[in-house]
Amino acid sequence: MTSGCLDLAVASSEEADVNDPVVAYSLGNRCDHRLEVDLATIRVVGRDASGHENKLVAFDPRGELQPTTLNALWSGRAKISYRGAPVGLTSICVDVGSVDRDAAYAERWVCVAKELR
Amino acid sequence: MRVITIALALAATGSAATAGHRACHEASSVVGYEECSRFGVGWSGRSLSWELGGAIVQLPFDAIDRALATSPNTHAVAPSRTGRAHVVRLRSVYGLTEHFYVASELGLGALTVMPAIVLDPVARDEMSSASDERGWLISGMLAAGLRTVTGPIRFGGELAFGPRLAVFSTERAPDVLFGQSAVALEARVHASVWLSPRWSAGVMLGTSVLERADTSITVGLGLHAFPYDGGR
Repeated sequence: MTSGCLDLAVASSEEADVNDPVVAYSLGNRCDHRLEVDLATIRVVGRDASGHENKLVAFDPRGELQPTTLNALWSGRAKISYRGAPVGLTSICVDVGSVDRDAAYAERWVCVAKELR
Repeated sequence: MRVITIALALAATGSAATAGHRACHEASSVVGYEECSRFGVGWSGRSLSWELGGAIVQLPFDAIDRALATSPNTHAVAPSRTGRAHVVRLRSVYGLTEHFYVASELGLGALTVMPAIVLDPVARDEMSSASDERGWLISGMLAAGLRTVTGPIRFGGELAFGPRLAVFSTERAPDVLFGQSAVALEARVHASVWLSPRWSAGVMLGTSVLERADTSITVGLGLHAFPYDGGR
């Protein structure tokens, strides 16, 4: 998806030794200037097969998830694990409307299916 | 271009852990589980560029009055004057923040105007001739400065210092090498324009803080490791 200068891709990811669901974010800055991006304020919910939703919280024991700068014509990737997922998680939905700090916030949900192990 | 940019970005982010921490073995790529890297590393920050330029340098030469080592009865005499050199300058510029940078610089060039040496008494009647004199100017500088961007133009200022050596000789005393060394301290202003995300062209004017007659003008091209050095 694209928002202003920001290209953003969201995918579910499986990681060895990480039991919580993991979301992989790929960001690209298409503009000549720097972008302020924020993955810390993304709202995340997990859904189970019956449609129940749980709010998920990013696992960030070192407090790394802060707004940061993405260079012009540059890209970045990050994988973030989330805690609080319901048993039988089938999908994860993230509101990426707050990622581009240079743009006004607008709710924008993206859902990715969670592979069943 | 975009494919190359993304490929470089992926390579840079992928190798950051091993490049920066040779002994560290990355256990995970997930935030909070990483041991060698941190969230956002490689997304922004330092920049690196190289600048190659041609410079015209004016520099003062002290008066010369000395006996030749090869012929003690002969004096080499020359009044002080302002010399000139055409120099090739190669700069490596490290952007430590968006506005602050440091640079290292090497300069090598030919003296085109240098002291008019008269040999006395052997050549008292002999007119000095610039065509029989040859000389070189060599310099190495370190600089620190600030820069900012307005549209496609970037400008800034810096302070540079380092050793500079001018050596020259005359065919009338081929075994003798004349020289003058000094530590240069130069204040500079510069402006450049982006030709593409990775190429720029610029001009830089400098004047010595210590000697008014010591000036330089440099015109050159810049190659940038990161598009627009991170942003413009």
